[in-house]
Amino acid sequence: MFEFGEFNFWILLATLSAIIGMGYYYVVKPGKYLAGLRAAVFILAIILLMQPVHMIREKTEKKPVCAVMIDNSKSMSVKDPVERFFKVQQFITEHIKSWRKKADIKLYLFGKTTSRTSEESISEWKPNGDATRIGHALSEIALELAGKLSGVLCISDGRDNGSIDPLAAAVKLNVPVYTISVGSAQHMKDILISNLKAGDFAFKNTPLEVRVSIRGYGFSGKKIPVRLFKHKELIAVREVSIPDEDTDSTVRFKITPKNVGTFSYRVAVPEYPGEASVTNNYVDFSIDVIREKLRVLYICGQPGYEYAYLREALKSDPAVELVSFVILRNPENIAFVQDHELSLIPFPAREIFLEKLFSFDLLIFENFTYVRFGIITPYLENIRKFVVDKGGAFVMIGGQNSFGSGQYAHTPIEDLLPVKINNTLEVFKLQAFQFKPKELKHPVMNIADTYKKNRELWKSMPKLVGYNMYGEAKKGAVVLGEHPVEKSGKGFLPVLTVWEKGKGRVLVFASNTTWRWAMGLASEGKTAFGYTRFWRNAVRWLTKAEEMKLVLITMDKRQFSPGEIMRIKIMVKDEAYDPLSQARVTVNITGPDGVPREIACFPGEVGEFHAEYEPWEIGTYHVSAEARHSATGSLIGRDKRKLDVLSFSKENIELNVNEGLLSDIAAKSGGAYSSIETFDDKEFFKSLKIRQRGDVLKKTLIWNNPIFFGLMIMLLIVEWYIRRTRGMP
Amino acid sequence: MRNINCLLFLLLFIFLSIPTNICGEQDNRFSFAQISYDGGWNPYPDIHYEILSFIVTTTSVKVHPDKKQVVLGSKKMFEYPFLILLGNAEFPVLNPEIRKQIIRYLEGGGVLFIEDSSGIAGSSFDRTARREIHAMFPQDPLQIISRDHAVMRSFYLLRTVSGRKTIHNYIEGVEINGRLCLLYSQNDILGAWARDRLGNYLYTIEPGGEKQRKEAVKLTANIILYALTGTYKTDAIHIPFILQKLRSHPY
Repeated sequence: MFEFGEFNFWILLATLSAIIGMGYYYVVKPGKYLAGLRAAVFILAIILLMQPVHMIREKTEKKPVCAVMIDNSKSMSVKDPVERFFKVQQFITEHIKSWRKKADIKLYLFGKTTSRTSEESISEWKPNGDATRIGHALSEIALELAGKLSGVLCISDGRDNGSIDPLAAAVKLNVPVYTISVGSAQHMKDILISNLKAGDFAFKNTPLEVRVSIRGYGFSGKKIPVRLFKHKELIAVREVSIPDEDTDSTVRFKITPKNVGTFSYRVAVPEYPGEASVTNNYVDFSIDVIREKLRVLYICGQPGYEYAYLREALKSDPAVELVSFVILRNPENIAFVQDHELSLIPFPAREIFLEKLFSFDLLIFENFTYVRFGIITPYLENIRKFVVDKGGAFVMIGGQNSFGSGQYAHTPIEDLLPVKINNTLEVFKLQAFQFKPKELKHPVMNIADTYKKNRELWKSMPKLVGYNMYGEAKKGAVVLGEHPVEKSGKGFLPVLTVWEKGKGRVLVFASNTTWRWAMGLASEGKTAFGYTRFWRNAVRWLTKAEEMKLVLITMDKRQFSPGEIMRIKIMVKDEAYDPLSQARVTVNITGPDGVPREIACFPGEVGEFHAEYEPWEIGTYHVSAEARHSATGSLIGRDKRKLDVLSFSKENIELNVNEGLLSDIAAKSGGAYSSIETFDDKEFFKSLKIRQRGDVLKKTLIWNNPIFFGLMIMLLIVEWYIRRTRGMP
Repeated sequence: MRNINCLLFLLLFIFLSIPTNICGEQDNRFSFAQISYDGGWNPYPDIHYEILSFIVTTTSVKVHPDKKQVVLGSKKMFEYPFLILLGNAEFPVLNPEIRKQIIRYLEGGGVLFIEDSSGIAGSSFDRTARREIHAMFPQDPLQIISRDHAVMRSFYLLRTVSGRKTIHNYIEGVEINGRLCLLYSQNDILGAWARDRLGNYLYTIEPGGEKQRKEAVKLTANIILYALTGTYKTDAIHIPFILQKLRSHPY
């Protein structure tokens, strides 16, 4: 419907008169009555379809609505020389009463968030906002006072650090914004840490560089010490010369962590008298120290070619730190020399299986029986806990001393194995066989660059010789390769089998002659890369190395400032390691308060999901992601990351008043800029226009009036009568 | 009928006598595999009995009881990660294809032990073997193996190097990617094992006598254990023990 008031009513009447006049000239005068009548009906119908309504409104005497925004961010606590916020409180107290007589004043405090307030609570106002978001505040006020707002008064130091452009927000308001600056535009004396860069994590015994940027105002040319503390203990000092203002000096520290774990550090510069702020003189951060390499413990029951080759493959892997023991002599062997002529050392069974085991990532048993070396059941139980509870990995490679032949049935190790074993029935068969690969897409089996090359390479692998005749694979195990003819249970002997056990993973290989793959490839002039890659894949898959994870959280950085948005990407793959979009991903973030919060997660490109979080509290945050199949709800995988929100804030970095921004906001919105000392409210209130309409007193629905409908009918009857009387169709 | 039964019984007996690994492929047990070539390749036809018996008695190594003969340059070389090549006369010039095979074998992880059984300094075998080694590895000539190399402590802690003779108090070798893959000795280490049909040692050991023979025996064991364990004895965990033993008994 369209509304017209008194003024519009006269326009409508004038329009109708013009239509009638034209009608007389073009219709009545030339005698075209019938056409005129029909035209009049159509015109009337069109007008009524527009649903005209006549409104009579109350003449209002309302005051213009005016929003007064007061910046209560931390930068307003700066004293130059009087605290800025205190000045604002005095200013409001002085003027609010007179303002309320001229306008309907809505008071707001804004910093990180925007909230309504009143002068009654002025004594409780505090400059403690973690950010200055002028654009956000203007947008929120625009929403709340839509259609009513006549003008805005913004009292701030202009140190905006929000993500919404305040100029664009001011223009969008469509009302004048008057800006009042509080504080000095001159840089105050201050030394601050403006930036810090440390790695996401550090490797044990590997140096890590920490880069610190220092800025100074009023300290040009001065040399100041920059100190690095670890858990409050001073560990390094560097001297830096302060350059000209608005330029940073960089200092570098090298940290070489000796232990694994998370460590807290602080970089600090001294506090000098007269500094505008001392909270920006230090930054706290933490570093995760991790082992550089995967730690593999390889125990072999007797020297053999398999040990020599696998040891070489593991030793040459830059990601692996190998510790191995080979039983070179059995109790029944004769020593024809004295002990000092032998290079043998006692096998430290207790130290390995009770004390040091949990410091490893992967334990390999090759042709090794526990029976002869004083390894008691509690040691084997510890191995089980190592896999199930700690998430360690376990490999058993075949031989006469492995599986049931090694008497592992009815021990905690049996529970770990993905195949059924039997101490009495099992034999080790010394026969050659062609390994038959099955799950070529499994990451362990991927030993070539393409699927086709992978298939061909596996086909060309030489025969293996010797295998343990254990039972079938257990439920939940994945058979990666089998014997081509040897039966076991309902299917063929599962030569290479893997599974997840508790938090860890286990791999078993029935034969101890994979070295034949290396030699076989060499005999054809090929490198042993396929053999090496097989074992490297196995190590990485077993230890859940980063590149083998099905669910992986990636972030472009690990350290944030308060209010800086954390952009979290979650990559999801299926069991074949193809990107997977049909997944339900849940992301939780736990801040320093220890409360986990679920955050929204959205799909991106294939296999990618995105989430964002804006942290404000300083401290460590833990992000965790879980992915489940959309169709079945079954778990695909999980991942977690640790992030830090550092103690330096944008509020601490620039402290002088940003006059430029404040005057631009005023200029673009049709307002004016002044300082708190020079503000004149007369001009401000003059500029305010009442935007509100009076209340509706009377409303007439013209289109719904039966008179006009009756008029249409009458015109049609008249036309009919004339046609009838004149004998016209 | 009776004759047929006897024949069948005989065939069954023969069949049961054949080792289960009838295909001949190498499993994980150690094999005494010796290279044969056109020349004096087999100066000590039976020493493998002594050596294998010693290994089985004194170490945990499992062995194949028979000597394996491998033609130089054949694909069968790749069945045995450890090969022994002996000679006491001029070594033939190898054609490029055979040289290529040997290089592939060593790069593929194999270990080749070459020994001059003549016991004569500057012998024709020594001269020609070095020629072939140089032809195969022009960039990596034979280097003296240091006393603290893994081969010197892979089972016994060796303080000296000798054999039937002591031409040099060292052995030499070639490394590929940091792995010692070819060992060369002029001391006729394996000659110290040789016995006659009555079981007496064939040769007297010069100059050190039986004490020197014992060192040759130990060095043989070390070479075999090295082939089966690689640089195991240079792992950090062993070093303090080894150094302590060497310090307490320097001779």
